[in-house]
Amino acid sequence: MHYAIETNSLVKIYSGKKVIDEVSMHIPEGSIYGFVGENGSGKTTIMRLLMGLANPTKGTYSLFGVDRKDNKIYTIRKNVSAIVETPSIVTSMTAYQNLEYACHYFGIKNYKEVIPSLLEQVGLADVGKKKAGNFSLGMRQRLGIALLLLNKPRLILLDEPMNGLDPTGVAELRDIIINLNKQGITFLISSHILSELEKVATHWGFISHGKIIKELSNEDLGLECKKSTDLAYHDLDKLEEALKDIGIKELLRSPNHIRIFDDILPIDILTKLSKKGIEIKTIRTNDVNVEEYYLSLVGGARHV
Amino acid sequence: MFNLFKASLYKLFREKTFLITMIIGTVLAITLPLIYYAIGQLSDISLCSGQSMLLSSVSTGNNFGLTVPINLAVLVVSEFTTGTLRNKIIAGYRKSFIYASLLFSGIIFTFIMMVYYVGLSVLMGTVLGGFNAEAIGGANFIIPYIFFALTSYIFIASISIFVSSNIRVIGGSLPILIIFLTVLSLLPIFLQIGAEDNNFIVVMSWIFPTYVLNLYSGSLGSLGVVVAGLTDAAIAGGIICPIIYATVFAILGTILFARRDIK
Repeated sequence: MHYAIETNSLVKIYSGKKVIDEVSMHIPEGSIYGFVGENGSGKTTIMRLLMGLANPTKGTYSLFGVDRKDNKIYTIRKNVSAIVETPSIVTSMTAYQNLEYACHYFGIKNYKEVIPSLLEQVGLADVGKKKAGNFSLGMRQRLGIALLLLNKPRLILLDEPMNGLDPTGVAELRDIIINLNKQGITFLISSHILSELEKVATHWGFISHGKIIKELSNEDLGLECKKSTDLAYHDLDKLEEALKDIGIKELLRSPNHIRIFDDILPIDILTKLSKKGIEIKTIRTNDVNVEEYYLSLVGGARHV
Repeated sequence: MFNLFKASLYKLFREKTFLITMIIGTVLAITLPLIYYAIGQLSDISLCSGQSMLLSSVSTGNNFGLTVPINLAVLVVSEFTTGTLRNKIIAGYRKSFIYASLLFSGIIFTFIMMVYYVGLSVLMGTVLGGFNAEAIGGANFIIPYIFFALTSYIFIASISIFVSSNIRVIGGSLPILIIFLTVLSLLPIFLQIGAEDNNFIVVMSWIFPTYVLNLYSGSLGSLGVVVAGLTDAAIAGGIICPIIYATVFAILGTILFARRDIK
């Protein structure tokens, strides 16, 4: 498998404190990698390391197979875009001028054709000549996205991209991400809005206290987050036997209940068990989402 | 690298700071000659002329001589606070190239502002009191004076960018810069007391990067009258010393900038 980003035992120490601890990540080319962790877990620091804004204390990383110390990395970076925390824009310049300024350092010659179409794409065509300083947070995010797309990136890193966007903006951003990903662009996205991340991510990385605690594909996450139903009964041996009799294949026995993972409606289970003379008093369905999965990984109710 | 310079200049001319510095320069260049002219009218001593404004306006210790590095520091710090500098790193530029582009646009900014301010001041002085180049020694004085000004302001641009790119906040950069440049202008005044010979001037010209320029501009008091007798060594010091300092700070700045993380 080819990786857009691969980190190898990355360590970052700030003022004697290890904020990134031996992080090894693998982000496949063409994926949308959802990066999840609590506040201060190290997501932004890792992104800043990957963008070359900060130097790792130990360890290394590669972008598209090129090590960070290889001179070719500067060429690779020409096709990397990112928004960390907030889009970097010059508030005294108009939206158009911000893009023109970026075109100059990217060396884009045909900017007079590129800029209007980009402004159109992000819904800022009507306000292109207005000062960016007067823009709302959502409009700034849109301008930031236009800046992202200028250099035709192969890899885009987004740190909390949905912050400040209204529901329409979130939906539009989601569409942009999905469309660009279809064109082969790899994404590394950190977001607290996990329900949105769930709609786009193909791969996941979970981080806590500077350590990667789990990395998995969406398929694997689906298996890990599989729906389950808990059944409580005074005689668990009898219940287990009855469940097997009615064709339940995946079950897990706990001291107080039996958890079943088969795709079957709770009402059907109750009906079938009732026919076998078992009246269940307590039944609970578990619909595990990414947030719950993350919390189960870190073993507590931290704020994600 | 060329793209980076082009982008830096594009941004420079669209910055509010550029406009603000231009306005400050205009106000100072118009009001100071008028004040000198008014004082001259009251005291019968001619203070305002094109040549006197040429001397006083270039001094690194005058109002605008400090305004330029202050605004340059504001420009550099804004690169950090708005994150535009971050974008250039993400875009794949080496930090050393980015520092070089900061330095380049800083020097351009300084020259534009100084040429504008000095030009307007001299014009105002000439309108109010005429211009007599021979009164300050003619071309023999003015030509080296231009070189001293060029190299001294390259040094000032270099130190301003060094300080602001390392401190990265206005609140910290400005006091350090103002104190440093003021001490650099004032310290020679105290050191030169009782030691006004040519050997002393040579030593000072190789230690203090703005010493000879300020000596020429008359801002160092009585020594202003001895400039016609400067030795070649002192003139060389006045031109080369600021360049050495500018280069040292540029190299040091590049190294520190490359090593430090960007927020």
